[in-house]
Amino acid sequence: MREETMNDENLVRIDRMRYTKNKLSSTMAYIAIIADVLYFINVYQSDVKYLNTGDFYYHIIIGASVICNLLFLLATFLCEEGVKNYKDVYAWGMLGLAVVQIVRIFILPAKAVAAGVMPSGQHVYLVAMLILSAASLVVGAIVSIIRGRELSIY
Amino acid sequence: MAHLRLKNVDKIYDNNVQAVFDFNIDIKDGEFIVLVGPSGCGKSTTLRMIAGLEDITKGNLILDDKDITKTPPKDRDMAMVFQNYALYGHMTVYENMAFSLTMRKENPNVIHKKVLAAAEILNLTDQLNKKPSQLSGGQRQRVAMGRSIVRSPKLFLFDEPLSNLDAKLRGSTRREILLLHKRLGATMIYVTHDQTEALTLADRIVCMSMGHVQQIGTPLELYDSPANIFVASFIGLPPMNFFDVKIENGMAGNEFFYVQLSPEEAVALAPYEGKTVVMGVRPEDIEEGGNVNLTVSVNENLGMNTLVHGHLGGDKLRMVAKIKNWCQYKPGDVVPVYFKRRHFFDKDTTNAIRNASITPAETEGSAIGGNEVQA
Repeated sequence: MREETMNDENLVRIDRMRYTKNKLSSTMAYIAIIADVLYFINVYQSDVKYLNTGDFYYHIIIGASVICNLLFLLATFLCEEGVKNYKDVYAWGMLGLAVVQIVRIFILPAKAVAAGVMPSGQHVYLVAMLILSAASLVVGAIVSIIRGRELSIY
Repeated sequence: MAHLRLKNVDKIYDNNVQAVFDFNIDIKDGEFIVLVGPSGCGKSTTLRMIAGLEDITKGNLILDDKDITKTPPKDRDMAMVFQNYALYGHMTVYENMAFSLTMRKENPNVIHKKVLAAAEILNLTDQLNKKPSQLSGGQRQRVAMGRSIVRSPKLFLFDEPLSNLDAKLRGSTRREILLLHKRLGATMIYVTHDQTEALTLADRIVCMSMGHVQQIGTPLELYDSPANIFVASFIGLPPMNFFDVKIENGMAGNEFFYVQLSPEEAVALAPYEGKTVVMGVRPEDIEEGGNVNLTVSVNENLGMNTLVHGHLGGDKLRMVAKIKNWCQYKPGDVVPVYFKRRHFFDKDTTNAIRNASITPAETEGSAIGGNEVQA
């Protein structure tokens, strides 16, 4: 009897998805965006604030970094709209973006640390932001894939 | 379901304008009450006082034996449907209908079941994922009703819900409201200035004017036995014709016509012997073939009926007759008519002279055909 009720409740939950948005995945995408913004606000700070040289980042691909960040924000927002409606392809896109965030850890913060430009405290903070962003994207994507499949089977 | 009582309710605004005077009514469980009257008569104010959106200056509001005069609107367990729908444009139909329950933090699965049930009742199941901007006026109004239904309130309040709809939609939505009332069996209070809505929807009508209740009764009572000239003129389309007539020797008349009073009318009008009273005749109670000569000014064919606008005696007494059949009168034609049924009112108080409104069956033909005497 209890199992039947549980199943029934589960069916109602899935049926509910026909009319409600995937708010959890959407929220996760927004968290990823916010973490990325916090990362980007902080990433060039050390050159001016701590070292007062102001020219380290000009020697590496700063323009590409800015464009990459803009594209990330745009793509994440696009995926957020997709996963909100349980669309599988956007969830996979979010997983791809999570990989991008992980890869970024080994480019800019890592290079800056190696060059002695970035203090370790800032490095930890930036890595944490990128990991948070990636983790949010992964969670959002997995939730969206699971729910999307439940809905399509239903 | 709810039993609502309004006891001596007054509403006086801060600028000392009194909008409602001594309103009393006892509304039973499952009753459909319609407040009707012209603009500014206090009907919407009364509804808003019931909802708690306006303070009651004096008197009591009692819901199921509990005085809720000072109870805040959110604790009254009433749902109100507004003329302008008041839907959230950025939410889907489903979200709009679920909104109030979501705010109460009810279980999402319970909300889902309630919304689907309401959508089924209102035939909105296919529209649940649409935004209000994608819906027609009638559908939007149904969403507004759905939002009320999901709450299962004790009382439904409708504030001119059909006013924004075109004539065709108004008719169909009106029928839907009627079906909804039958299906839910809920107590409903409905405000309108449209007498057709009032007559078709109501179990009882409250007719109001200038903040005063003029008459409370069933639609038939208001139509058949209006309490005064205001009710007689407000209920019925086209409105009732009124003539000043003098009561003399069992006759009522003026310089243009005289009618023979039936025995019942004569008894009721006996205190008015030699005095002038107001005689009311509904256009649909005027038929061809009597001794009153109606000079035609305009002939309006409506299909099954013809509205004949005209006058008696040189344009002094204007009159409208709703003649059965398709007529082709021209301006200036003289049509002999008779008054099948008459209502009499006191000229000073404007109140109906009771027992003077006699049905054709009661008069046993005495008021039908040929009893008018042309002056």
